[in-house]
Amino acid sequence: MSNIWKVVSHVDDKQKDDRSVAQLSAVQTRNERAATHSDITNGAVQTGVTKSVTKVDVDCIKTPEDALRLLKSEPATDDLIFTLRRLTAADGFDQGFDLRSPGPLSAQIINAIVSSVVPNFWPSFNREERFLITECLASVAGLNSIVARIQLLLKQSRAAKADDQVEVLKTLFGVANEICTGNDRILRIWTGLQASTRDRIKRDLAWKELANLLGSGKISNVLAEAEDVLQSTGGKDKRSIIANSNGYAAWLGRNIAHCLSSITGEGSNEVYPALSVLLARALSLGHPISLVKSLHLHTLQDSVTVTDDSLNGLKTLIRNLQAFTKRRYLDHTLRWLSSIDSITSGVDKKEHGASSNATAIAALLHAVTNDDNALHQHLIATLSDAALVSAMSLDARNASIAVLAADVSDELDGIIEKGLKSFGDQLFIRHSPILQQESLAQVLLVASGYVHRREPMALLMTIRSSGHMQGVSNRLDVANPRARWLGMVVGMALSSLVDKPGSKLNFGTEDMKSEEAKWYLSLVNTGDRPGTLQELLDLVKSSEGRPKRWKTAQPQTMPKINGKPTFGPLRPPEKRQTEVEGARIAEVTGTDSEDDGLKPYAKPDSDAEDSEEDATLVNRHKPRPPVYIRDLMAMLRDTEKHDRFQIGIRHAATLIRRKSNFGKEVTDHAEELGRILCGLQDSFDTETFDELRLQALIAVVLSDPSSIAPWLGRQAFGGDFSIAQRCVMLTAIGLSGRELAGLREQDGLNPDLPDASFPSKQLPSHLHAVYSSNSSNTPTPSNRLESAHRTLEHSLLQPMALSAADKSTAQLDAVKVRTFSSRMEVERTKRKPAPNKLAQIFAEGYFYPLLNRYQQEITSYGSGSVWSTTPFLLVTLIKTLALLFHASGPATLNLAQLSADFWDLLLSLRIRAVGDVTVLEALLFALLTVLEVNEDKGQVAQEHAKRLIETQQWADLVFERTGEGRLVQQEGKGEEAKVRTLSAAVLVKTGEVIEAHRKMLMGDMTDF
Amino acid sequence: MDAPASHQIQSSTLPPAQPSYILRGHTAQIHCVHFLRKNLRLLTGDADGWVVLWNLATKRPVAVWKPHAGSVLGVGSWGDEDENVITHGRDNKLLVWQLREQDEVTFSKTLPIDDATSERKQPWLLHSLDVNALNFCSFAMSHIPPPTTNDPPPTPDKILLAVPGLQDGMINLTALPSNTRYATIPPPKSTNTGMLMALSLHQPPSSAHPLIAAGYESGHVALWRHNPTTSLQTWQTTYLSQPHSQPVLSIAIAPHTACFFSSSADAVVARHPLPESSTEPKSVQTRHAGQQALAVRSDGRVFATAGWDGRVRVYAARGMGELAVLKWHREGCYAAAFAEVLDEEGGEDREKALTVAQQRVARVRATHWLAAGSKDGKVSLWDVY
Repeated sequence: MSNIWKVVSHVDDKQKDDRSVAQLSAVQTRNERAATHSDITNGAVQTGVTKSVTKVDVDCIKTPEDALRLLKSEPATDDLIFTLRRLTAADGFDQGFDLRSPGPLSAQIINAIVSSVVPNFWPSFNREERFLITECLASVAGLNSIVARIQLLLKQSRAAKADDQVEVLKTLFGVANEICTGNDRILRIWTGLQASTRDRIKRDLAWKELANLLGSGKISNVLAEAEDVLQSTGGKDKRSIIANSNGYAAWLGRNIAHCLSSITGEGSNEVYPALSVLLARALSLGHPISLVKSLHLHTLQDSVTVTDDSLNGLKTLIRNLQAFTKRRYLDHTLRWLSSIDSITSGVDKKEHGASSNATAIAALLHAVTNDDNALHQHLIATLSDAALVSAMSLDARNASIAVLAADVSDELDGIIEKGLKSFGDQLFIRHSPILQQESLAQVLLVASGYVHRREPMALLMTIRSSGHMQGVSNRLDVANPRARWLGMVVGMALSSLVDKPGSKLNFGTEDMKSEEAKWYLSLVNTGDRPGTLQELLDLVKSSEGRPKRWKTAQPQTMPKINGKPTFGPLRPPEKRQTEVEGARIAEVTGTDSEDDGLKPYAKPDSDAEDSEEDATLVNRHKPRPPVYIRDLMAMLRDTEKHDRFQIGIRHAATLIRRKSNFGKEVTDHAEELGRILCGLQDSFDTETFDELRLQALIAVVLSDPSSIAPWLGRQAFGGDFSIAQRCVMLTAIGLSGRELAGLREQDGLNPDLPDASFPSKQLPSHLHAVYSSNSSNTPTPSNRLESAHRTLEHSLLQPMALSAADKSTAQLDAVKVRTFSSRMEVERTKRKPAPNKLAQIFAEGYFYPLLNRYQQEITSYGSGSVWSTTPFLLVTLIKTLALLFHASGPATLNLAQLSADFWDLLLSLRIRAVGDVTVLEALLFALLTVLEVNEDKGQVAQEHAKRLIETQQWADLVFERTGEGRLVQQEGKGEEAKVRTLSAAVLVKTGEVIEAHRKMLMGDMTDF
Repeated sequence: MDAPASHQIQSSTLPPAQPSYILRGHTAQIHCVHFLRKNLRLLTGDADGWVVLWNLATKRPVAVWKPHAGSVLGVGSWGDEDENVITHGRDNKLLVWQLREQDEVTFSKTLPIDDATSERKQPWLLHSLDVNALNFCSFAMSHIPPPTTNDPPPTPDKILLAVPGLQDGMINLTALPSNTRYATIPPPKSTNTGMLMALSLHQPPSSAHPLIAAGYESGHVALWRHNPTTSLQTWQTTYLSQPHSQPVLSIAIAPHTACFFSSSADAVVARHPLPESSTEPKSVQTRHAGQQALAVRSDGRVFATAGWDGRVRVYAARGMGELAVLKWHREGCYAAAFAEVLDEEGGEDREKALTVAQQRVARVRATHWLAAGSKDGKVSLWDVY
């Protein structure tokens, strides 16, 4: 506290000049109030008009009661500072009074500060003086009082919009923000409480109150509301960290970490229960990931840089948590760790098998779960649950297994046993998503590797006893090739561990030799040891440093192309033509004779004249269209120069297309380009910005569809993108797939790009505009997808409607010439069989990345995911998948498996369709697509019998339900009518399939 | 010289000029360059307030210091051996420093490009004038002629400094070393000219008072001289014209050709007559907007402009034909200066007798340097005409 003394006395010296003014006004008010004042103070405090009397006034403050009286009586500035200083000083008053200790008197003083001192003085105080006030209020009672006050003001401001209230609110908001900054606030409140209050029960009560206030997020809520009010009145535009619940959670985490690293030795056994109460409350705040992230990062930093105590503190803190909270804590930690990893590893995750990530993650897990049985049990339970496992990243999984192997290696047997059991389970094989099956297989293999290295016999026993062979044969029976493949891989890998060299299981098929199979087989060799915490810090840093690095890549490094050819022969010096300007005073022509015989130098290689007559319009740094991909990236990153950005985005698509088969420029930067385009903001209000960005993104995908399309699919689910951005990504995936399938010219959805050829072959822009007539009004990206969907829908429905019309008018066969010719029309406009490149890569490149990420997202976040809260996104996803599926067509590789998975997804979404008609429509459309693409009706009926029947029943239900509604009265209008048409189409299609199957069974004898 | 001959020469041109030397030392844009001590030293000032004195024989800095907190607007020199250096900065100070050649060894030679933070030793400060103007107009200087007695006076050389005054368009004249106000000249009465942008002073040998050429924000150019008809210190405009559509950026008097030149932010370079001269006014549309600096060589044959397009252009003073386009800088050029053209009496004989170092000095003296300072902080030295 002596520091504060010094600071403030220093400030006093500096302010001596200003003070006389403040003094004057203070004295005047005092004068007016003199009579009442003396009544209140009973003559104990002298009222006066001169400075000397004021001094006496201050000197009279011997007791806290005096201080309270002074605070209430609108004191002068230096009196106030003096009093505040006394209040914050450790030995300010004789009777051992301490403001930080809860009690009636301190509550009154704090109330006086909050209600009268802060509104009056805060805005005019400087930093040090504000510090005094926050010091007074940084206690449980102080925080409570501020929050209560803000709540009251909010209530009032809602009732009547009074401007003076807004000012007070703004002030209090500032105070609260000031208090809730810094990483040591909770620590200081805690130590203050410890120092001031002897009574333990009192302390506990006070602490509980604080935990309630902070942990419940009440303060954050109140501040956020205050911020809203302030913003609506235009009083404030800066966002506060505390009012943002994400930032608030991070702040809490930092503070707890700081407490852990600072409080050691004696008195620390009391802090852990207290902090555990706070942490437990904070974990339920709603942003647990930012909480655990900041908590861990700060603890790690402290433990690496300063002392090991903070990590021990964290361990003790976790041991003090209740069992349920411990489990939640571990869950959130795992999710955070998974999220780090998914950021760092890019496209080639599997190939690189970043095991250093796993050791780094294991370091932390090892540290926090160390010798805690409950946590170990929870980790085991998590690893045994296929759904939970699939939500974790590969590295987090490996790290968890490594930790278990290091601490409780016996328990791994249990995991393997359980895992093998569910892995071979018929129900699991048939009904769980492939992603879960893959994850489980990976866990099994990694864990078996550990067990085998420790005790080969134990693994042998487990495998022999657990019906593993039965499981493998169950898998071999399955129709789903991926599930079958997984069974084979797991069988082979385990057999390679336990069996003798001669009797090893080997299927020897072609798909056992792929890269992926090799990777799976090598999983049993994974052996990570928990690494050091420093590694984790580095990992986190690199994962967070990365996006920044992209940002800071300087656009200045562009080579200067302005006016300087970078290659080619030197241009001959051009003759300067002498301008003949009529109205000038005198001309330069005919000056030769006057030039004093000086021989002129030739012009340098370039000496461009100004393009503008008006000097104010001359712009010497005209941007040129980008020539290289790096130019383009620099231009897109430009947030300063309007025309540079515009030229960049305008030429992005054509440049990328031009370059995608030219050198490695695009391939090397495809991912980065994609990332720039995905997160691109239009800061310059560019015309048709969305369209341009979409086209560029499509071009990027097309440059290397088999790797970029999956990557973009992952981006659409991960990252901090807005809904609109995600939609653009999905649209880009969908349209690029269509183009790949050769569907480009047919629908005119992809407009002709202005100049895919080199610019030298093009007319000057103004002439080009005259001669090229394709001035079409371009639709927005999501409309683009929408219209593709509409065209397709139409083409699917039309033949059915026609044939239906055909049948119903059988008696008019004679006059059906028109119908016949129109059908010819349909035949003729049918697309020519273009080479369908999509069919080959559809499964790996487009379909499964999207499907798996969707399932992972839903298992991880459930109803909290943006994909389940925003029907629009879901609709876009389904439509994208359906369009792609249709574009890929009957020739798709692995069609049966794809159809099964897609169909399952669609059927699982039926429940979502109940609430939203757009989802319903998309579902029906997708089902129709699936039925359309699977041309072999007999096979559909055989392989997907159950799905088919379910679909038929459901479509029937939908058809009937919508039939009851009145909305369908107007034919062909409204959403419901469309849904009805679609469901009818689905019914017809399923009917056709069933009929075909029946015919196959019965032969053509019967006339069904 | 007859016309056909010169026409023949015109058609055959020299190859494009290349710079002889590049002086890299400043980190900020160069605002002014100035040759002194018979072309042996070059003084450069930049936008961060640094000033560097270069030895042109060795092309090395001999004194580096930071006279001003704001950017340096102009530099100059005066005295027998140019031992007094004038710097004018945006911090509203005009400072005169004593910087004798024998003192040079004591100064820092660390360039701002190497270390722009640490303090350097400053020369001895002789005068400090407050310039109460907020614009970018640099000072102008001329010598006061000694009293018309037969024997040359032993008293040191006196100079007259012109700086912008407190009000827009006003010019203050101060005499040094007496540090007395010589005159205050109001803006032209007839029209609103805005701020004062550029100044140039010339002392005609026939008169006791200098001629003052001033360029204004409105594009006006005015010539002032002392009104001989009144006994009071009154000044009259003898010439007022508006050749530019944009603010005038630079103005320079060329006494040999009895004219003065002005350049501006637009693309026009204009020539104006001095009083009682037959030179007709003339303007050239260069089609290169933004001619920041204009310098006339001491023999009055050529003048040069430094332009925002990064080119320095050399023009013939009489015909105003473009002679050379000097292209090296990639950023705009903000300053240009010519070295003094000294008559070479008996140069051949003397050079033989000298040591190598002295030969070098003599060669540097005789070279017709053109120095150009640019936004990129570099100074290029060209040897033209």
